Amino acid sequence: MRSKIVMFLYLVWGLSIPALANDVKVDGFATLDINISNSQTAGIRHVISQPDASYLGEPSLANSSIGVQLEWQSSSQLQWVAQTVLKERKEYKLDYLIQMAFARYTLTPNWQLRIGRTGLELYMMTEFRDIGYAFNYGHPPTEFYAVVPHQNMDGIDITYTYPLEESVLSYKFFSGKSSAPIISDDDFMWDVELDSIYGLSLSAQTENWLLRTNYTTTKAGNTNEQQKLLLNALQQIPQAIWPTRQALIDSLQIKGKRFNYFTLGAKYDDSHWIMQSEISYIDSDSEVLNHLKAGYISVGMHIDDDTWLMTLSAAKSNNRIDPGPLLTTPQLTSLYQGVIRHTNFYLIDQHTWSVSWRRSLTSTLAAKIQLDHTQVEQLPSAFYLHKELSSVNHDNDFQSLGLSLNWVF
Amino acid sequence: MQLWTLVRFALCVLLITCTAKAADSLVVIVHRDNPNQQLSDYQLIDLYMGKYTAFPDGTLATVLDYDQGHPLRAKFLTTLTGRPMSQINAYWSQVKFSGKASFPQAYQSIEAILEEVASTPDAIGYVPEAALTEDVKVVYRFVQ
Repeated sequence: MRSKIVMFLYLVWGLSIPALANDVKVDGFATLDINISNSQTAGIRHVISQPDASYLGEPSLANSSIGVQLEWQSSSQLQWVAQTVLKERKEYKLDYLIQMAFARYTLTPNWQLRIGRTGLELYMMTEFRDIGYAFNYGHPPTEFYAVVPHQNMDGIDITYTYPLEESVLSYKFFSGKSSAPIISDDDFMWDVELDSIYGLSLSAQTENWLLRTNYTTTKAGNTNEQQKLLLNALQQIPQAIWPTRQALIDSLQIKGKRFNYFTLGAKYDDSHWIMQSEISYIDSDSEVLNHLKAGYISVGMHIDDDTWLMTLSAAKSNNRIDPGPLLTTPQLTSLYQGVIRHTNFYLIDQHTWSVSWRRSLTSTLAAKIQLDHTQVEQLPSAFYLHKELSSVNHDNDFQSLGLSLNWVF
Repeated sequence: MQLWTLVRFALCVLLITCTAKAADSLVVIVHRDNPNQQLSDYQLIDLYMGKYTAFPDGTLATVLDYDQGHPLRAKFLTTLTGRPMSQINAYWSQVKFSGKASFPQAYQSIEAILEEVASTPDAIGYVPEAALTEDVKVVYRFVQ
């Protein structure tokens, strides 16, 4: 229902453009990105909603995107904003194409209200991760940003901004719903619905510093079909044969489970030196995604038109691995493998060293190159797609290289 | 009479254009009845970087700027922030495309900015010092 409302607003907005042509501001962005990798097992991608990945000899353009944003100031206090982003997806539907569609009302200089589909301000770069020109990295650090596919939210946010002598403090509360797909091997796709999102972000911004923290809590709105099948199968197994059966059933019943995200971040940029770092902790009532700790730190510098960054990013979860049934039959083994695949989907332990270079070709066009060296303790990883996992030698140590042109207009 | 008016207008435009190029200093202006007398560097950065768009007395400000590509815009923003336009545009890409704030209203010419500031009580803009008129008030001068 909410997506239909957003689509209706979007269409009304689109149809009214000719009438408002002179007052509507049109801006856009585009990224042309190619990624190559030397891994034969792990298909490199930068977010778990990407349906395509790069392997050895198989480059990927999945990080490329193009977007347009329309803004109409209908009064001194009321503004309408709509944004659409085209990028490679598993499924193309209008709901996915609408990145943002909201009304922004400035009650006073301190209080601002937004209603509609807004960006989801989970991490420092979540809202503009598709806009390559906006950040210095070739791509946001995979270990930190790949795990959450949600970038927008249907709901409301209220921001209170307070200026101090040399800084600005912001407090933002947001609430709503969101959905985004998770894509995995064997054509697995799950449109993950997050209901009852409640979040609070605090930030302090000076000329060179940005400090921010965020706490967001949400409830899963659906359970995917494969998990439902596993649940049905597990319910047929006697407890005596599989002692942890009930705990698994509880874990796999994702709908209604609470997921909590906490993050802390800092950024320094004095136009010569750069430092950026974030840490996050994701916790939930389900073993599927639990105790996931992630972080990254980057240091670098601007030298004329060039920006250099060195980054270390890491992610580790400590999911409990289920011991499985006490009996061994082909059916139970198959069921156990299916269960493990889901409960260990977010079993992650890896880190990446990155070197990135950005050259400003003009004031609105930048070229970027990023070399990543990744070591994984665990494959399969939710971050990647995979092939030849049955082979004995997995690629647990691989490089990838991304080259991109990034434009704003 | 009409010819004389046209000549005076052309001379005025020429004078403004020439003096704008000759005189490097930009000044930040508001409506002459605006009660705010002075802005600090930080307040001006907040206004033009979309961080906090209000005057020191708490009144919501209508921030005016020049079209992208206008030479005064790059000069003003790079002088104000001490950063190149590529970094400023990258910052604005974050702010604008995440829907947090919008670019200031853009105008094509110095005259358009002067006219808008003179007629809008809560407007703020910037012009070359040589183009100043009595209809506006200076609240910030760049130190040479």
